[in-house]
Amino acid sequence: MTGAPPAAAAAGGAPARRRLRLGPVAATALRLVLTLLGLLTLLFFLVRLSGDPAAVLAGPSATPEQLEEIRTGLGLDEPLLAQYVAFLGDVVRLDFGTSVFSGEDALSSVLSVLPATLLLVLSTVLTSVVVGIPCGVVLARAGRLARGGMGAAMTLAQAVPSFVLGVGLIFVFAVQLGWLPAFGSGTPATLVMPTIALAAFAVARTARMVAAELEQGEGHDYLRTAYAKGASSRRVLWRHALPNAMPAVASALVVEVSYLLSGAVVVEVLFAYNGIGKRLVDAIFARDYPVVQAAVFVIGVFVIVVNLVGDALVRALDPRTARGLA
Amino acid sequence: MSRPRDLGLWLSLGTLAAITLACFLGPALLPDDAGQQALSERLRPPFWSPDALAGSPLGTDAFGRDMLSRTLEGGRVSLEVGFGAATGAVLIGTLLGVLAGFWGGWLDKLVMALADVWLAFPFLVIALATVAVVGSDLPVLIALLTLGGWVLPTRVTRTIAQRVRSEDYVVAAAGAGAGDGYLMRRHVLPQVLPVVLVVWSFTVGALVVIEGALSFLGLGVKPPTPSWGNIMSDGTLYLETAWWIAAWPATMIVLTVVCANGLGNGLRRRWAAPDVTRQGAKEAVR
Repeated sequence: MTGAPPAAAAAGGAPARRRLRLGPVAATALRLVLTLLGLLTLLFFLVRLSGDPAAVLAGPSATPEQLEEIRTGLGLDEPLLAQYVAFLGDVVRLDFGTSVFSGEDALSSVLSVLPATLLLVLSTVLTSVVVGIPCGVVLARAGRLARGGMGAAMTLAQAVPSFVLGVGLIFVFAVQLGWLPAFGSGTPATLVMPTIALAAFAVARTARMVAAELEQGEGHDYLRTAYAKGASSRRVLWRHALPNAMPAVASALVVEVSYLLSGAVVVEVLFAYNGIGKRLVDAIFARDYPVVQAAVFVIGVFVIVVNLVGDALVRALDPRTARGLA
Repeated sequence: MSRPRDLGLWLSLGTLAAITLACFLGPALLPDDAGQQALSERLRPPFWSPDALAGSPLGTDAFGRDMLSRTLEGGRVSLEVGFGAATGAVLIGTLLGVLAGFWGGWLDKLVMALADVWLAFPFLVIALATVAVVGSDLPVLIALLTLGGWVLPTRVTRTIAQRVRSEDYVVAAAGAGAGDGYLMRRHVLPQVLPVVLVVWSFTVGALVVIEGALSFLGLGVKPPTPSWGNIMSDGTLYLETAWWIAAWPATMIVLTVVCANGLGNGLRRRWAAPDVTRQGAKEAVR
């Protein structure tokens, strides 16, 4: 297997696609940076085209003179293209302006809540690995009954949206049993329910991925060899089959992070968990566009970093991709 | 193939059809004043409780509105968005996917690059940012969610179109002078259609969830108009006293998604279509 020509190795993994002669990491980075740029552009034009930002900022009782003053202050009287160029310049200098309401620097107000979101995402990814892999093994290897039960559980976990699960958790563990705080952030107890609400889907995805990889690998020679050498089925599973399933699982997780961030927004609002998603939604309600832009930017950068680091990790985990595709 | 698999398919299809019928026709069958406020009948429990209000088997909400009528009415809105956007997404996706897969070249590169980029970013954040600025009328929501779902059908149909393009009979037909349009209609579309239906079912499930999340956050369907998401968000305020307000729409969302996924899986097995959910995930990796 390992001695197979690159074509065969590639066929085992992802379809090999011809791409520019850039390193794979550089190509990913370039693509993602362009995404971010596109997103910020979209945001810029949406805000500018949807009405008069100055009117929003000044409030309904503003006099025409005040409006004019705000317009000149923000450069809103310049042509759109000039504003856009100025905006891009600001982004490069990481200057998103100040929050309309708190007067705080928009970027630092977003960055101050980033660690909370990082913690939530990290605990979710950990949960989905720690719980998802055993579930996947059950799904692929257990007896009929256990397999059926696990399959049903995973189907349900994939179908229950995080906000529905979250409300259910609050009802049971906060309202009825009073074991956990219904909302808040900062203490370990406040992390439990958001993590569960967010992780259910990811656990199911990981489990299905693991199960599929195990089933796919079943006929491979290296497993037969391991059995032939007298390894117990448990040892074959944990030492031979699972490690070979890991790269696929890991790369699926990297992709998952962007879904996780979507879910995190909802979950953070539901549990009043003071993270970047809640900051974003609060800012949207308050029409605090500088903070909205800063939050979208930070989330974008976060996704880029996760993708780059994740890709590198997957490469490190799977020597085949490093040799076959790079 | 075997019985139990098809059972799942028919069960999902039946339940989904029942939910849809109930939501679209149900409100017409209920008394006219069912959705009206009646402050004297606030927070009445469902039928199994002695306090239940006759004529409101699922209880009433904080304004005394009948939960059965609210849930069905809300379902109509949620399903309109879900079905509408999924259909739009599948139409756009099929068009793009077939063209990209069949012609290849720069169009293919462009479409696939767009798809990669689109998937890399959390869609809900894009949706929130857009809704924040443009507002969230029903057409806007449907258009937005259409954009939320176009990648999967595009990827899946592209793969099939690519494969069909290189089949001998297609190459032969092209050699005999058949035009691209004819080949796509005659040879690619029939092969793409079953898979597109599978993708459509999964997309309905996914988009009902996204609509629910947006409305739950208060940034989707706006309150006097009910939707499963915003009824739930009202209900979270009353979890201690009137949990049923959140429970009914929650049940409906989960049921709808389970059935939509079940329908997709059932159709996939019946037609032995490739596993589109995994394909999407796997291709997204590289």
